[in-house]
Amino acid sequence: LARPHAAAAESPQLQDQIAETIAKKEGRPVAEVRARLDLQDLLMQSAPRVTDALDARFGGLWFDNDRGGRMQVAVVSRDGRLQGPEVESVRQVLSAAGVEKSVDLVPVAKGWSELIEQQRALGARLDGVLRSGDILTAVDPASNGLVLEVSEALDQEHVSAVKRGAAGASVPVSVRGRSPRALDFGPMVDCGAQGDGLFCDRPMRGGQFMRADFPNGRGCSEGFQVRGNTGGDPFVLTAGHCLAGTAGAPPWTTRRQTNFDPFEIGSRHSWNFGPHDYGIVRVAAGSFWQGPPAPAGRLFVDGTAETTQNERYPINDSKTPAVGQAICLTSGIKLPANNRWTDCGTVTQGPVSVTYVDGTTVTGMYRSDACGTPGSSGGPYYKDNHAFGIQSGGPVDGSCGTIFEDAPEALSNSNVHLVSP
Amino acid sequence: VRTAIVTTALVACIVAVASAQDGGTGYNAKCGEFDCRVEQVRSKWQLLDVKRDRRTLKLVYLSGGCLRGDGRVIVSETRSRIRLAVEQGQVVAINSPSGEVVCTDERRYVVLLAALRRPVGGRDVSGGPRIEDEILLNRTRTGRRGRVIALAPRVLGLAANDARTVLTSQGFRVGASGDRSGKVVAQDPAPGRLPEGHRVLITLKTR
Repeated sequence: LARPHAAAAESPQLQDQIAETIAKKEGRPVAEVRARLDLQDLLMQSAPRVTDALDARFGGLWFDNDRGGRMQVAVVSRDGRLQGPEVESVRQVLSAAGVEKSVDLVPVAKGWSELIEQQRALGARLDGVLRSGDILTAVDPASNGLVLEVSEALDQEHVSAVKRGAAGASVPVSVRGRSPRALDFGPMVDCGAQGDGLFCDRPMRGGQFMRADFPNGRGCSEGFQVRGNTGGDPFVLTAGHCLAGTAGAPPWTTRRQTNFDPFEIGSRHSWNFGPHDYGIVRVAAGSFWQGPPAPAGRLFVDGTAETTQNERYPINDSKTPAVGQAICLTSGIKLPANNRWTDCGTVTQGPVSVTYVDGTTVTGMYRSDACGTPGSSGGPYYKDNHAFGIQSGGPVDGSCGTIFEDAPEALSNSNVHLVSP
Repeated sequence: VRTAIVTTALVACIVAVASAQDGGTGYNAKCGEFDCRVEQVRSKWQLLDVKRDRRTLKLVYLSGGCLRGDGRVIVSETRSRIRLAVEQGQVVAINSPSGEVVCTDERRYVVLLAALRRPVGGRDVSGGPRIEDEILLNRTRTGRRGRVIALAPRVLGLAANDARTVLTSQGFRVGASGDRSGKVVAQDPAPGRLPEGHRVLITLKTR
């Protein structure tokens, strides 16, 4: 099925903002950085076709910002020569897009999939230390290897374990010492992964993974940040089935991205699971998540073939979905279909009535051909800065196709409104 | 002879009709008002704690979606090893008008106790699949502004590797002293107490 494609260009206002931030950080003129960003946006449109054309010979892709932001494409080559049908195909792709003069092909020994596999294996060997937050692994396409950043506070026993783990890799691993603070990942980047879960620093936003632990533990995604129509109290809009049947569960929690410390959000307030599927969790007074900054009318959008990563994607209003329209879902748990937190698709049917396997019938729902996963319930559906729905379910585990609740209906019935961005 | 032939034919017809009605899918459970087929599947689990009697293990397993949350733990013990598996039902077919199996998309975390015939005694705990993609919260208390503070689980009696798995899966760092092939005979802090700097020290002694 056809998938929607990302807008060709970033909004000029956001692009200016990003250019100013980067220019300040790098000490370069804003105009130079702005031109670089525009070039990179243009080049990124060819990136998926370049990757496809190289297939198993794809070795990674990066930008050389010291050379005006030229795109570097690593090509697996045994003899260091850039030949073969895949290379010719890439050259044709670049030529057709008119960007061939801004791209360099670089011969490398290892393919991207081998680098990723080696990173996964390294992570598995160093699992305990990785979870402690004292090391970081990264694929470095420029060196055609891996980077392992190690906290200088790590004790000798763990340092030895890390070195043994690095020695077991079949690709070059560059080990670098970092101050513990440098591995704390401060506000430079708002959101990050712990395992497959998505967690963000304040302001709390849609798409984060949240959990209520034992007994009756549940894990779902935050949909939209909302406020009560009467008292103006902050709530999180999510799926009703996440909240139903959780009597006795402790409050819902989510982790901030810095250190992944968990903080309580609050307890369930009201919910409906049958005939609809929506519910709200109160953001407890005085809680960490109340801010500042206060929960924002924004959500996390992962970078995919169809979307540009945006950790603070603004939501302006809500609309009822229409069959045939493009739509994107953010899940707090990585989606197996694309190993991302976001997937886009098309609204295929609605409103529909569906009976879940526990016998609950939900009505007024919509279907899409996007992909969900256990843990994505409650996640937001959006497009063009409009809220369209919240994730409810899908076919038997492992298949794509989703069922979601209509956002305006959920908001109105919960007597809440969207928080402004 | 004629009666026997007629009877046999009738029985065959009834069996064929029954089989056609359930589509040959072998419905074996109820899903709300509908018949459905449930199959047992292995589920991801993780060890959370050892109970005070040291012969009961507290586990959590993943459920939700099409999984029924009716898990049972299968324990097989030898002198040197404890093997655990968690099985639960998964709905794979339903006799609803649409015939479509649709499930909600939440994760559920269900706690189970595994009763052992004798104390853990440093025996290796094996089996899977394990929950490895998230930090689990077991014993906690709430601090300032709703911070959830993890408290030390009980790992006494576990083999060193198992104790390490329990602690790291709950976000703790581990320090160890003594015989690394031994079992945990002491832990600091004690179970249910707050580990300083997220670090739990375990003392190991030969099994």
